[in-house]
Amino acid sequence: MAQTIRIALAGNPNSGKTSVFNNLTGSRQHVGNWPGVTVEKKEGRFFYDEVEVTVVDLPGTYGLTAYSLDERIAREFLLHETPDLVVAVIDSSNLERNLYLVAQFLELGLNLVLDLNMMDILEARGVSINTEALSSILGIPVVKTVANKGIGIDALRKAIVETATEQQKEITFKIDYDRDIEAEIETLSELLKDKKLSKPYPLRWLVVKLLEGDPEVLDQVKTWPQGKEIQQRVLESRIKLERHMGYDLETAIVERRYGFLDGLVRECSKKKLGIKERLDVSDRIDSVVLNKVLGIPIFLALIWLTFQLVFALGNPIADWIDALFGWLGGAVSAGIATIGGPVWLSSLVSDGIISGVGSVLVFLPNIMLLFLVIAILEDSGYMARAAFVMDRFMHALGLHGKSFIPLLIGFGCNIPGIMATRTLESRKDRILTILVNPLMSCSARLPIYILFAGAFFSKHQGLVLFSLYLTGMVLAILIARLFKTIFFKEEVAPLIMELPPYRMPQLKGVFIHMWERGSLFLRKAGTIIVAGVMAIWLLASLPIGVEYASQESLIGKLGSLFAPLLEPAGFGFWQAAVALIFGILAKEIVVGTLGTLYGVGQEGLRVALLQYFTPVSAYAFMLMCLIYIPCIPAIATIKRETNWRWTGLAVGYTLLLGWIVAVIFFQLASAFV
Amino acid sequence: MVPLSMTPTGAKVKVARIVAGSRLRSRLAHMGIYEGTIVKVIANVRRGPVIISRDEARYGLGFGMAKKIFVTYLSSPRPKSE
Repeated sequence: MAQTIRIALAGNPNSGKTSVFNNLTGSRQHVGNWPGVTVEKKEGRFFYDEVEVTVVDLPGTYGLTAYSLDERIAREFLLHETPDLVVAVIDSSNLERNLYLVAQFLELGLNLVLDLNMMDILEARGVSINTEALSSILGIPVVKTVANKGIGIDALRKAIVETATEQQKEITFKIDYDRDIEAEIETLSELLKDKKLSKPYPLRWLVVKLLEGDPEVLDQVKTWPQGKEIQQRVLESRIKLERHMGYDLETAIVERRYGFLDGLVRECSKKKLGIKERLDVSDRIDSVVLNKVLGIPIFLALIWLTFQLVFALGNPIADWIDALFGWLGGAVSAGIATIGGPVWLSSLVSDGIISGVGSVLVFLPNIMLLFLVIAILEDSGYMARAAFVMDRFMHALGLHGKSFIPLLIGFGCNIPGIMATRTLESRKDRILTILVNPLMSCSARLPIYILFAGAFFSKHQGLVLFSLYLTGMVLAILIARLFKTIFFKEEVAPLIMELPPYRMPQLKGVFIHMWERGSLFLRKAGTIIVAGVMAIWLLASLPIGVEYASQESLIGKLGSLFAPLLEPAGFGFWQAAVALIFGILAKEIVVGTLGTLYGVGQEGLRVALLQYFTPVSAYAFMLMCLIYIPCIPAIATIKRETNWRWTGLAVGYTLLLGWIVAVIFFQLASAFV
Repeated sequence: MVPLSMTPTGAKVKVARIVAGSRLRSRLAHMGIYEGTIVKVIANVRRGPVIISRDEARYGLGFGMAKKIFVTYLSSPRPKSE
């Protein structure tokens, strides 16, 4: 009979967990070097011996105390979703630190299989591990793998299925925390023994966590009958022990765990002498890349190269896509005409849907290339270093070194940028980074700049573009500082991050990562933009009989309503108002909307704009487009990552700021020009 | 005792005191850095990040973090100010 089991993969960041996942399930997924890159809960499946195994890939974590959102996801899953079995994937070349997590899993009484991954690196260093000894001391099966080369995966599958289908053994694993602590564990265990606990945690684990002061376990205890009394009792034990030992209990407990692991590693591994350390090369690269003098120039050069590459390679491809959709629109509307379809249908399909979607897909090459380069920088290990290079600068902004990555991604598209904030540990840093992310001018806003800069500043297009990107960044700094003083008074969380050794990025992994992020953008093109374009088309065609996109149409009336508000910024006509309203759906729509409303194609649009805008009001309009309201998919993402309050703030402040900046610019510039 | 932020590249030091709240201390502890841990300073950029190694792992500490970890020297020259 076919049996189904569900297992989870857990491990430290950079333990090669994602590689193990890919090889176990054959699924496509990313292998990253940026610690904690596996953010979504990913599932895969494999069959072994007629058993169907569902595998959940958990975000990387160092322990069972949740610091970042990623770690909380992993912890919640392990504690509350009780998988049939957990595979602890560890980087064998850093055995002791990685086993620390395993020790915590064992204390929790999880049904475990230990996967000693990256065995090749360890063996190259002349270290051998006695897996039988390790297995018998820990009381769990141990499998050696080299996941990125597919070695040992079948043995792992076998161990998983065998262990999961067996009757689970009693927990025998126990770390000896020394006499004093053990005595307190015993008294507290006695006290908690009869309590009907809301979740079936092992008693000893619960007690140790209480002594460690785990905030979530403490909160849970509070809800029990006599919770207050238990808390009081725990506090007494802590004070007693700390007075006795002379330092804090948490450190003492962690130290004992490491002490145990130190002994374990000594007992189970053998090292040949005289073998060079593996990280020599990495350390040497770091001494250059993180150098006081060279660090920032190297970083800036890489970013400059990134954008050069993105535009130099992306723009020609974008032109082909543009041409393709132009041809498609013409062909389809001609086709509809030949089969006698109504004019409105051909207008909806070619003017609405095809040109709308086309105007979005034009950015796909640029966006994909940007994500490709970012994936390469991540997988090589450089991105983690960049966070350090940028740390001091980001601190000056009141942000965290790690915030830099989400902001950089924001230049491609704010949605993955906002999602990338999940690796930030403090809620405050996350929220600040999310709030200012829309000020990073995403590639969707680029066509607006290109159109206007081309029409009004043809000799200084590059400069105009640069000034807009820069304005966005400067505003981000100011806003971050402002919000920090208003909403968050505390210090920025100090930066500590593991630096993975530099690795050659693997082509497959890089492309998978690029696709995962880029496809978010594609999905947006397929859904919200099609809907938005159709809404515009409809509003421009109603009431029935009105001239398409004229001032008498619904859309024209809507625009006329808001136009007076835009007067002080220099573009108080209804077409601009409508374009901005629809730009909220997706910024790319602004260009298409203007085209529709002026009833001209791309080429005619420039001429039409010259009649309505002056260079000063054109620049003010670009400023408005840069700043005002994130697009709807971005708003939805902000809501998903925070709550309505912060989402409301993000929408409100960007609208207000956009208007203020555009008005100030227009009024000042008009006075001088 | 000196803050880690002041230790020279190449120094081998022992963590003596971590001046931080319990959350941060515990986070560091999970990564294997607590009072008594022996680490090596791989790189120290003045007023910038400090890279340390504990066994095979490399950790980068921001300047703010490195100021909070006090260490004693096990080897390598003590700076003159000491």
